[in-house]
Amino acid sequence: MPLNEGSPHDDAPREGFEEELGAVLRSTGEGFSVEGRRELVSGGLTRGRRRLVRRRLAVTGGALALAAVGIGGVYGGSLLGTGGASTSAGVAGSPKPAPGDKVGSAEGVGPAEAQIPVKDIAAVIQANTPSGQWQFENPEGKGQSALGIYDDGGGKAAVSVGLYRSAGGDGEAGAGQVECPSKVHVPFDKCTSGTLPGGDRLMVIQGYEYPDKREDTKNWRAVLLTKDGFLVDASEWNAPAQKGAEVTRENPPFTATQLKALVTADGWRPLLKQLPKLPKTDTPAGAMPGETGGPEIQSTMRSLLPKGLRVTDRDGDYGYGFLVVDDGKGKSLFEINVQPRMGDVAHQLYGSGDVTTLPDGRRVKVTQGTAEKGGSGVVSWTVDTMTADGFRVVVSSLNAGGHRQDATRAEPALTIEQLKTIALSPKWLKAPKN
Amino acid sequence: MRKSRADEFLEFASARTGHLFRSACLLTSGDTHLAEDLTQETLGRMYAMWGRMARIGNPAAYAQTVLVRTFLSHQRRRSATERPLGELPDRAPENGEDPALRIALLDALAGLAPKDRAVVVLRYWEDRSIEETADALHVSSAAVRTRSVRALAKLRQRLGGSIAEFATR
Repeated sequence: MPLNEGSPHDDAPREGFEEELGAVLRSTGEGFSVEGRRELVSGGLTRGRRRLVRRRLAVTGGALALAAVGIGGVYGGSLLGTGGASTSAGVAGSPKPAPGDKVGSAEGVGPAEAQIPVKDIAAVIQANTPSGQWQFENPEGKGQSALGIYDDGGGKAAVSVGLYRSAGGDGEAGAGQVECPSKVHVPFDKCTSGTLPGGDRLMVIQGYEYPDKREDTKNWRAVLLTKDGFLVDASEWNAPAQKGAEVTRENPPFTATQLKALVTADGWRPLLKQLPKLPKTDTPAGAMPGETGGPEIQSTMRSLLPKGLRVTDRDGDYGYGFLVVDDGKGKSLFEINVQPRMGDVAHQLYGSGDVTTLPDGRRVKVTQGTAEKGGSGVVSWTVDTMTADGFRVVVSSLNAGGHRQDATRAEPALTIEQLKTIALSPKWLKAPKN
Repeated sequence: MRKSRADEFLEFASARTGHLFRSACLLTSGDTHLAEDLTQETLGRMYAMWGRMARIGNPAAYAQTVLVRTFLSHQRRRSATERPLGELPDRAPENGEDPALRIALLDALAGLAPKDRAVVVLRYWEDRSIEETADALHVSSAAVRTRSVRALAKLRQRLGGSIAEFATR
């Protein structure tokens, strides 16, 4: 309960009307009861979860769409700090600052917002790209990214550069940014990654704005991870906007070499130094309380695989892992989500369909259907399980080597019974958690 | 086994939700639906940053700040959706309480600009200092003083003698 009287840190003694106002405010405020409003906490929890999922989609999903896996919240944190949750969905595209929209500051998360003048970022971009006409968004603003439209006469193209700190400066969380993604999640034409002389790491990927290539918008991107833990992330499109604009040229304007020259420019150094330091955390960035890390999930998955399956690709993130397996008859994607505290949505998950309840209270739902992300002839088999106290393990397998890819075989490599055995393994409950 | 972060969060949420909701009711000048929405949004944001909270000293105070900022950003985005006096406080008045005065207060709060209302709630309900209020709202101390003076004058004008009458009971 708030106290008004004798506040030790108040600026001046309160008298008369102010005192009275405090009393009436307290009386009025206390008159609002939370009795019968149980949904407040559960609703908050659900929103928090969604927020994390969105952030993760923004971070890994978006990054998967174009580049990297396993980033953690640093990227996400910075982006949320810059543009707010609504704009963070464009992470992989371009983290564009949203002038006047301070939702991000309400986020209040982690790092303070960077205050680098957009025009300084724009100047470095211009100085390190071939000559052409530039138009930058919000040139008088401040932040840690700049979005411009470049015109070399061959068609207007959106170009963005963002500057970030990698997680706490240590390589692991940042390294995911500069490793080529798996084609399981995202199609791309070319991707190279490696270490530059001097120790910085670079990835250049030539991919698409939409992972399902439903439009011809291409997104080419270069990400530099410096050995002292900074990220320079440049993207270009063959359209004047990332989404929703007609393509204006066959390819984005800068070659892989030119993009590399842009992200490795010395001009970034003084700007990178202006990025606020990240707060220290004891939960890995991007992790949700109680979640199991990607590597632990992958190794548990592998340990539970039936014999005779070869793993041709794998990766994971907090609460998620995938393997691409092949039993000699064609590739098959095998995915898993391990999610604590999902009890509040149990009725939505297990309210319909083929659900059985085991003697120990665990619910098991089996779904066999067409894959939701498409691909010709692709089916998805899913076993969704949850313990009585809300610990959910859901595994699924496709008869294709990745989402949006065509079927490679008649059925997924893992049978429903094998999927059940894996999902219900006690190993998941024992796996280390944050 | 040490308490999990999720448990910690639930404990925090259970303990703080009532106060957050009441603050939200004052901020929205009695729109309990919007107040519920803001409270859930605030808890959602706290949950999403909970892993990082270890370094933030006072999560309860921080949640209040998040609530006020959430409220203000909501106001900026949707200026016309607030329903002043959508509902009256839903507890039966106790001895010595004056339902008419509560209605008058909520009405008077509704007449303030959202940021002025936020200043009033932070200063006189949350008992924050001028500087703390300024920090929470991302404005200068001088701006808080100005808003505070303006809001108090307006409230005094609206509430007039009734508030003194209440306070001296």
